[in-house]
Amino acid sequence: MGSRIENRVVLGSLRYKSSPDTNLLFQVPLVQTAKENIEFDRTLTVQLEQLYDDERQASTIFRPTCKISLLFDNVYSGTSKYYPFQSSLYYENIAGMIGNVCSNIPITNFKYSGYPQFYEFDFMRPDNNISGYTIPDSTNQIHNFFVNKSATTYNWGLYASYVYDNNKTQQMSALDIGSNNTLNWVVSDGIPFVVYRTTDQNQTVVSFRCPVTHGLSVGEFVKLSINYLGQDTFQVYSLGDPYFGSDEYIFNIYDVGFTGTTFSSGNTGTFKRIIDITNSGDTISEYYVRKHKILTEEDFSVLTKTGFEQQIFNKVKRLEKATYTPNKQSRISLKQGNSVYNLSFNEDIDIKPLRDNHFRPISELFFTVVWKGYMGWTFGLSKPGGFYGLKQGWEFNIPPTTLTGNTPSSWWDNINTNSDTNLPLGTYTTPLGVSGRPFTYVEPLSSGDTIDGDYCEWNNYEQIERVISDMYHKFKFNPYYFNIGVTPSTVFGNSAKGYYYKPHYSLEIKAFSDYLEEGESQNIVGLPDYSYFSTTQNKFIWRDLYPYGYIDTNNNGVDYPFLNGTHYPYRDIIFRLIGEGSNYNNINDTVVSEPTIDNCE
Amino acid sequence: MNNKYRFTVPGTNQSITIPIEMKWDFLGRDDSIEVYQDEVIELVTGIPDDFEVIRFAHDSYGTFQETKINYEFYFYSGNPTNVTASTINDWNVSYESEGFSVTDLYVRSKPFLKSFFKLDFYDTRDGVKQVNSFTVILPSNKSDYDIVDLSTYIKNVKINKPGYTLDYLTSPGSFGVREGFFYYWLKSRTFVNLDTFYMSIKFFDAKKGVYVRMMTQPQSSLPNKFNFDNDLFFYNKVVLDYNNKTYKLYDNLGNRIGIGSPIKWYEYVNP
Repeated sequence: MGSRIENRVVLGSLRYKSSPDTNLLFQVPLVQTAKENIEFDRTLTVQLEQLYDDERQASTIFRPTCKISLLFDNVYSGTSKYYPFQSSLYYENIAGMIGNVCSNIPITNFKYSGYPQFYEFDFMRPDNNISGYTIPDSTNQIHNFFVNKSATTYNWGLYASYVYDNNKTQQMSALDIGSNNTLNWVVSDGIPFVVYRTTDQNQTVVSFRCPVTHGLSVGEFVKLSINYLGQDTFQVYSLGDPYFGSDEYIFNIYDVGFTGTTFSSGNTGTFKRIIDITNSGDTISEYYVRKHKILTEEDFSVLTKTGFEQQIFNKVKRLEKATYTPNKQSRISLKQGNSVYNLSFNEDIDIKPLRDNHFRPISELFFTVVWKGYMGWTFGLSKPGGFYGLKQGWEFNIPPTTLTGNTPSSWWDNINTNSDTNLPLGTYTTPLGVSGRPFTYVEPLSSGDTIDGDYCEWNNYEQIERVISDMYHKFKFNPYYFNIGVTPSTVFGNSAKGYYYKPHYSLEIKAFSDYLEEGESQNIVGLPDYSYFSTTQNKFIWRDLYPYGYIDTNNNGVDYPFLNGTHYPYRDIIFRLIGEGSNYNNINDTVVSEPTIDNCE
Repeated sequence: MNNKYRFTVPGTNQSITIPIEMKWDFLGRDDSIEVYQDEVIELVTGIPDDFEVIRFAHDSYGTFQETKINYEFYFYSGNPTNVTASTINDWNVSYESEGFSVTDLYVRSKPFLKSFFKLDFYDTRDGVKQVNSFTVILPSNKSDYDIVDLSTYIKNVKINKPGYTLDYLTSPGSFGVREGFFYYWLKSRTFVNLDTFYMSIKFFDAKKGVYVRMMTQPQSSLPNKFNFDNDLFFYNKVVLDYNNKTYKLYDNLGNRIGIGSPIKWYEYVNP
């Protein structure tokens, strides 16, 4: 660039004889005579596959959908004095009811008993024409005017949620199956155990029996809440006892001749898992209950029937004849249904700003299902300042009823505030309702509301979250309007039976690698901001996020459809509504044949 | 850049080297090319557009938040060559007026089953430049019915009539369908930003193999039976609400319709 000729400035008097010295002024010509060579022309092959993948990896928009199959056995029969509920039951003891009619016993003295209709629990209610219940009868009596657009939101609230935080102060309780003792602990204490002494392959060991899976491996360490001469950390010697499957619930430490009462049989405590005793600061696990944040409004859910798909179980239905129904109208009654539904949402979910409970980009969305019970068959028992509502617990809080005297675990007692979901209840009254006894239902959740989730373990060294026990909800019937019990304690008391269900269903939207990455910050380009920094080892630890569409040899990864610039993750959900089942075998489901002479036949 | 240099007489020869260095032209050039390259590729291949559709339901009305929408279609049964003398009674809610026999309706003959109402949703009333944005089909065999006695031996049979009761949910054992109740339109409004449509309805008569155009008033009520403003009598307005995912229908006076009373459409008879 510029002139390559060297400029030389000569003194004026030296140019020729008698030439004078003069001031000189000259301009340097900045003329570009050279041009940067174009080393190569840019050519780029646009590959559709590559372009698709680029767009896919860049997108953070999700449209989750799922198919829900409701598996439900309608087991609780009961009686009702409330006319609209009487008018909608799937009746039992029909022969007796017809006998009452023939004996001219006034209908008001009838004891109508039966099962709530299947659609009292279904995701979509079709009963918009039940006289005396959802439409006025001949005497203008009605329970609730049916609003068709609310058909999918009367019974359940369907939401999308994600885990955003941890609850480490949850008080928990479990029943030890071996001793039938109740174990109480705070979730951050770890996992509870009961000590007993035994032998393992002729070696005396101290065994620890847990009500949940302990997640330990042989060679790892446990930090106990109890100590032996000041020592509270011990190495796991073996797992389980001779019984099948016990290795997940029992761990043993070597009995070096412990004396005293620290490890006496029946002692209880809690433990935390430690992977490496030389680095216990990084490798000790923490325990908590996940907290979910709701992402969608109730009205955003779009629930439709899945074409003609049905479950494998048959419907159980029959014609309730006008002869014995309270409103003298015949109708089709449904005790068991078999519908399958598709769930999607009207609004997309952008995961870009969302971080999980460990400050990582979220890798899971959840379908969250919450019982609503707007028709008022459930709850209703009053307490100071309100009503007892939806209860929450974990899988270990639903022990076999044979262990609990054929009654529900005390965890679900109304008075146990530790099992309250604290979801607000709404109330309403009807003209035929009992005075001072409103119908109660769970208010719908809104975007941003929070709700508890599964009981989990997290280890910074592994960067893995383990679900120790799934969360369950329980609802009980409103005894003032539908009585399923025999004694007052089973009706109004703490031990009332109800239905359990699992509210959260995970939908994996990204996968963390099955390998662990680690390194020092100065040597790493693109260090993930969610990395864990080990102060003891002075290095970062993290797991990579696999790209969409990549599935490793362990089948770890996600590969959902991607179009419209949006991911379409999908899963099948089998939603189980579980009863305690004490009267499961007492179903009196006889079918009365058509009369050939008259209704009193 | 300054390229003027002045030298004053120093008494000796002087030599200067002028450093002319230009870094600014090259710095970031590769990065810029990369950015430009992405822009060009985006121009060539396009960016992903969202063609997903979402469901719009009829907006609720009344004390009990009803959502039912009811259409009634009136076919002309008068003298087609003398429409000028027609009265409102010449239009009836009956497929028979369109030429179907009772047998067609009772046995559900193929021409009847293949017939349908076609609801077209245009972006404007202007027939010259309008674009049909989407279409909803109402099959004839999904229409409402009357229960009639066809003879001494054939009693209490269901005979379809050209009307539809659409809702979220249908009552078991009664008429009413979901098909046609929901409208499906683009979720994203970035490339087609439309929330107002003009609904025009035709009936495809599979027996005659013709389309029959419907209008919002019978020709008998018009002063000039064949020369009238198409904009006023061939369309109802549909407004989508993207917040609630609902739609509302309006007549040509701007009154909301379909809120309890049936929306009536009448066959247009050509001169």
